[in-house]
Amino acid sequence: MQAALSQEYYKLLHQKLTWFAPGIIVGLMLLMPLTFNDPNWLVMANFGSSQWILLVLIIVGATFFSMEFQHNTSLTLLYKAPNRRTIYLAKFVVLFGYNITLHLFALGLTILFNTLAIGGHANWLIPYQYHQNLLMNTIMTATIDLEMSLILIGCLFLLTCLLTNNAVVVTTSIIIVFMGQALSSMLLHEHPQFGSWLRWNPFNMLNLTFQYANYPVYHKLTQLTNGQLLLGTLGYAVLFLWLGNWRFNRRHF
Amino acid sequence: MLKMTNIDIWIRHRQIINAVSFDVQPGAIVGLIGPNGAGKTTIMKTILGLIPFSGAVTIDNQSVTETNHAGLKSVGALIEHPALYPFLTGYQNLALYTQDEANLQAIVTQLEMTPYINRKAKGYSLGMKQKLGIALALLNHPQLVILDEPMNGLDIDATILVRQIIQQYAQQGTAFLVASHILSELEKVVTDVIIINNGQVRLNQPIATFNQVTAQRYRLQTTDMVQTQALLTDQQIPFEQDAGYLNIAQAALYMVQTLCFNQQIQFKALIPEQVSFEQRIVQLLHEKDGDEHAN
Amino acid sequence: MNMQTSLSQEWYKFRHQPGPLLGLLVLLGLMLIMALSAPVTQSAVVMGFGTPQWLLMIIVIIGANFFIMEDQHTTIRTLLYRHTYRWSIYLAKLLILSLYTGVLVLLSLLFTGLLKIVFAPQLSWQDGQLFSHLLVGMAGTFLVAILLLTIILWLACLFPINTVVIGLGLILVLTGQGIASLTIDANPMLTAILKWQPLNMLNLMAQLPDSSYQKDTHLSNVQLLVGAIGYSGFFLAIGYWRFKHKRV
Repeated sequence: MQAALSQEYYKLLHQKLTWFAPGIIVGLMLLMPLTFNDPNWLVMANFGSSQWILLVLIIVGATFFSMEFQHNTSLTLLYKAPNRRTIYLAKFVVLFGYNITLHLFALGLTILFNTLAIGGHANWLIPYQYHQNLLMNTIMTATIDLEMSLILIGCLFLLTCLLTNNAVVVTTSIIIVFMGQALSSMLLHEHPQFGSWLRWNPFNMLNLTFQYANYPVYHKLTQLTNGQLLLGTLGYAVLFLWLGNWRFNRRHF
Repeated sequence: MLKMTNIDIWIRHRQIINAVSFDVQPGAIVGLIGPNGAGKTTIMKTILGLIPFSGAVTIDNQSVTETNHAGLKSVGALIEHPALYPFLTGYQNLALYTQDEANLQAIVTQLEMTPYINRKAKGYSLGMKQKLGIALALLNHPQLVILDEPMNGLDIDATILVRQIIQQYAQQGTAFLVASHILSELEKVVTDVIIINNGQVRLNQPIATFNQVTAQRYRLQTTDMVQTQALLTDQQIPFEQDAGYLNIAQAALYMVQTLCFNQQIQFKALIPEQVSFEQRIVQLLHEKDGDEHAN
Repeated sequence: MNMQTSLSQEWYKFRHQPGPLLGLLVLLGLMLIMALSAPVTQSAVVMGFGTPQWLLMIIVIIGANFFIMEDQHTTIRTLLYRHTYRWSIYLAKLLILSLYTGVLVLLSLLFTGLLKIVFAPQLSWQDGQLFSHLLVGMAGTFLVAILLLTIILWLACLFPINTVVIGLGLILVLTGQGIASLTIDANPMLTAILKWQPLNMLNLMAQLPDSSYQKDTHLSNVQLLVGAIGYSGFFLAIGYWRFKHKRV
């Protein structure tokens, strides 16, 4: 497992894309102050980096499996590893590690932007939400977002193992990120009679981060509490990851 | 047919090709030989106008440059690995570039690809892909064909077949430039040999001249081996025992014959030791390397 | 190898891929879903049941793939040596993709008509100039799609990786207009310059049928049109320049 992990880290770190992709996050974070005037909310939501991080994860993550098929390195990868699950796990751990790095990066940028008063200057120590100060709120939001992104990683891994076409994987994932929440609210709105179980649809889980940052507005939409969203996200993430692994084990190379 | 004049190529401040000049005449099969990294593929890409260069490349008196490929109208090539569209069948990959349906069919039949030609290329084995790559290069009666490792992945029958096809096309006037590491195969088919090393042409000769290397040593057998050995020892002529033969240097050849004649010893066998094509190439490459280091 | 041969080769490759037909079916399928998921209003018809958005996303995917596949399969080398001039390859691909876009627009126009007849027969084509707004909206979508194609081809030359170009393209489609509005309004002093940014030209397809968008774009229809065509030319030029100097 150790060997598989270090190999996957090596591959990730030696791709140019890994280092350039965070540039997208910086650019898009800078646009957020133009939409939202509340410096406290901006800071707590890490300048809206949640969605942008997901986009970067999609672009980098989609190539994670597909590059093995594209460059015929899949056979070497498979025979040099003790079993297929090791490869799958290693790729997951590495991508999640990259995810953590991106979140820390966004957190760092949030602190920088606030210090430079981009979008206004928020006071870190004033109590804000959940009886905690803004700094704790910000860190908690980043942590919650990290957890929320698990569902996307799971979905991404599943799609990549199911489909051979990179383009379809990326497109589907990006559409899910941008439209998943809207689709869920549309479903819940159009069919309120099924609300009790429809609210548990996977797209609804994508609201977790925004709901944490703005409970009153989003709770009406999701019809779930933060805790329920958290559990739902974790549950779906595990399901998707497990299904992806199952498919990967059966795949012919 | 093809004329390369003083080709220099620089890639990122490093000179990859240095003053390379050579010709390929119609009907010739020129073998391009050299170690990995010598510049063979770079030269081939240059002929196809894919790399910026200084110097001149002309095909049938038409100039070829990076921005003008008019001279490549009757050139076919297979560089490195076959470039195929996986979503097209073998037939469709060929149909994309063919100007003559009958020619396409003839090539498919010739290369014995008919059983799988209508399958999508993504399902092809290495050998099938290689044959398809060769077929693409042979489309539309080219006057010059450039092949980079054509025998890669081919089984013995296919290798012989491809060799025969190359010779057939050459007899009809097509010029070939073939790069390969499988020297035994190359030797059977080439008419000229060009050795490239470190981006420079080290040797450019017809194969006949190349093979006319004077034997360096001779193996002999006489009617009286014991006396012959004694004679050689007396005259201080070095020799080696060699599985029932005596092995002597070429310089001592005439003296040994005279000595034996004077003692009425007859020769039963006198065999020059032939250096194989492969050994000759290796020898030459090391020789030229040695020259470079000396300079 | 002349332009005609380039075109017929590119067309051959294009029609033998499953993607383009799939793209068409997905477009029509998504339009149908939009028609089924909510009561059909006048604005739904004018917007072609979401055609602009879906069409642009499909164009991003099909366009990026059509170009990058040559790098992926190293067939770019054969393409380059068998064509006398590189521009004939670039132009041929762009033309085929543009024709495909035209076909998609035409078919979605017809399908919109069909969906309206089936799901909203009570709406009249004369009501609020429904038909003419739909028509200009589709025309705007076509022009914006061409602009997008030139951008995609340029990106594909810069980064011949499917996931990157498709990812960036989709981000552009989904957030481009929004980013344009945000940046233009951010600084009133810079509006005069910022209104001419390429992202703002994406608004052409929304503004042509609905002139109220002018307060967001700060450009007239004619100005947007000129801008879209101008930027298409610009991205075509820099895209081709990059392609011309590409090393294979």
